[in-house]
Amino acid sequence: MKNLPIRQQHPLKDPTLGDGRSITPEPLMEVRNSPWLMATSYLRDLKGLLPIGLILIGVLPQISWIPHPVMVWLGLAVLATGIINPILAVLTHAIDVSGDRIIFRQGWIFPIVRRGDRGDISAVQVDEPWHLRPAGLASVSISFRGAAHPFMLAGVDRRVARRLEALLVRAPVRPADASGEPSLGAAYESDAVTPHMTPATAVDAAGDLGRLTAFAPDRHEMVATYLTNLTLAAAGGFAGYELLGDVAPLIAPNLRLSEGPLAAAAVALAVVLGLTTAYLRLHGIQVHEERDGTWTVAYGVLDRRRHVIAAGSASAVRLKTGPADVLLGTRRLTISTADLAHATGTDHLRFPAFREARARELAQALTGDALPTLSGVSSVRVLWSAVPLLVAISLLVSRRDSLGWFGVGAVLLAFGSAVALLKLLSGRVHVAGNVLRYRRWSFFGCTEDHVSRSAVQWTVRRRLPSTQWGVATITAYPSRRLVATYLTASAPWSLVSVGRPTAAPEAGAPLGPPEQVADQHVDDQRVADQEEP
Amino acid sequence: MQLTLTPDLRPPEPRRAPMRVTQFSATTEAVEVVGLPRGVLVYEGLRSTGGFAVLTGLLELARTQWASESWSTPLRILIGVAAAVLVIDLAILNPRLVRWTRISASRNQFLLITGRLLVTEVAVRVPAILTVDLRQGPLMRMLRLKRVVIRGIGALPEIPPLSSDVADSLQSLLTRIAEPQGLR
Repeated sequence: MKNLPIRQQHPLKDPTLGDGRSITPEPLMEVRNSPWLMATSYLRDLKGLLPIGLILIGVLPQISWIPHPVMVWLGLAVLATGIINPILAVLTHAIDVSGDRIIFRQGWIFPIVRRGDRGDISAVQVDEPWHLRPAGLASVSISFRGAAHPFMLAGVDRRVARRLEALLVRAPVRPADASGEPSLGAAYESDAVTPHMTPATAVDAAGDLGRLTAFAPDRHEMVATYLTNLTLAAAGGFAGYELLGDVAPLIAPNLRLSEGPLAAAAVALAVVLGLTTAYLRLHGIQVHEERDGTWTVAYGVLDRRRHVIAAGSASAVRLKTGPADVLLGTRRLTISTADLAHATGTDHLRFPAFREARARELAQALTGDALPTLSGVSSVRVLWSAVPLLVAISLLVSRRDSLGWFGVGAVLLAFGSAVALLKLLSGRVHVAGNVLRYRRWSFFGCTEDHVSRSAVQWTVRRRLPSTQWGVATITAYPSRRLVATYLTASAPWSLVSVGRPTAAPEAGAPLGPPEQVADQHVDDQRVADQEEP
Repeated sequence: MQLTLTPDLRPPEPRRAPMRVTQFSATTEAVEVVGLPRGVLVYEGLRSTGGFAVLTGLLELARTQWASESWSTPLRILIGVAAAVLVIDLAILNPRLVRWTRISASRNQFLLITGRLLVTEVAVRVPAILTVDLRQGPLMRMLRLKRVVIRGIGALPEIPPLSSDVADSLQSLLTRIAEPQGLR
């Protein structure tokens, strides 16, 4: 297949100079979607068009009050949309890189031009879904600090995508590959589930070029990753239940789903589907740090994904400890960067399960600061925290007939309220060095957030006039999901000034916000420096 | 650089501290505000009274025109409750807002203490501030007040109206030291 063009344009000529000197030191680079994107999009859309077609042909004609022409035009509109959208994506979507400026263009009738600076890039994500891989394509998403929507091209040549990724987030000091075109999935083509690829400590792999840290889960951690991925397991369970619910009446019309063998088969199928889904999505996870400070996270079998986090953009790391994690001896890790929102439907990278020591080591490496050495999470406490969840589930299962819809809703509402209350009462925030740690408990275990110093943006505390205890809310950004609400007696400015120099107040010194105290000390020092001969 | 440090940012207890006239000091690096001007009392009182008048008018209209006889007593009780809330607002809560509000802005932090019933303390990292708007309606213009609206990444609590010079100084300080945050 013909490679997608990277159009190397001539630099702009400055007419005022008149001697051909360029006003732009770097060449322009324009990346567009490949024409093959149309074919792959139609392939992908078949999955969605089939049910829509069945509805249009099989269901809507049964509804007598809908006129036949309306159904015809509705079907044609859906079909036209599915056909035209990929064509517009190929014709109108483009990313231009010119020096430090990145320009994204899209749309024809209502064209949109968005601009971003290279210094604001927080992450570049290269996805290779199953429908793009046969055509050698990949999607590219460029996330910026402070922007909700990334610049995204749905299908470019995979080598162009990797070259764009290297151009945007790699530091210039990084030695270029000899081939100039990195091979597809080079970081995770090899099976990561091998003991010799799981160094627990930083590895000096490049001599004087710097340190390279690699974290690849071993077999134990990969199994834990599969087992603790509740979202995928639940999705697999739901799919299995639905499948059996449809198939079972055809096989055994008089057999109810709740009866023993069929229920056991449903559970088994759910487990198998959940594990298979987790395997296909998460197999071969590798997390490693490049010599230029960028972090790369790559994973997936059918849909291959590769996130490259710009240096210093990993602002928060979340460690989750549930009952399954305690039994397996691992911790689930979530890495938050500036904004991966809307790129893949999630703004977090949440997948690997590492052993506790390695998880803390990775969190420390990502946030760039030593984590506070506070008391660990008690395994017994984690196991006990899940008891109310089990009680609620058993109550719903055993009394579902007598409770009715309102009863089930009331139980779920009470459970959700109890979870929120427990989080509020058990939430604790500790500041150690340049890291803020927010720990809280729920009926699903313990969750810890480690946030680097620059992420905390504002804090609000509401309290009664006669007391210092109140409910504080911390909003951290770029990890905008981290809104910590907890009871505290400390003033909010003690948290916003995380990481800034704070001096211990001397006797008789004014008790102001630490920022002002620090400013005053700095000014005093400046005055002293000026007065010295 | 000259900094004006507030000795204690905790709001004074209502029974211990008398009503203060606004104390305001501004340099190129810091703005300190203790208390609000008395015009805020008038403004907030007019707002409360206006809201009460509109609510009472609607309830009375509903009682006399639309509602049945059985709804007359509950609506009268509702109007009485609204009147009681108005009295409490005018006599206790609005003076509290004027007395409790303190603002301390420096190069790096914006601190706010305000509230009527509960004390709300806000600490904002100034580089996180995206825009600082000033709003002034006819009533506020008459009372020489302005409302500072700070927008960051997300919603920040509302700042009560300030005198015009304080609001201008605050906007000048915060917008000058705000740094770009990328695309919006």
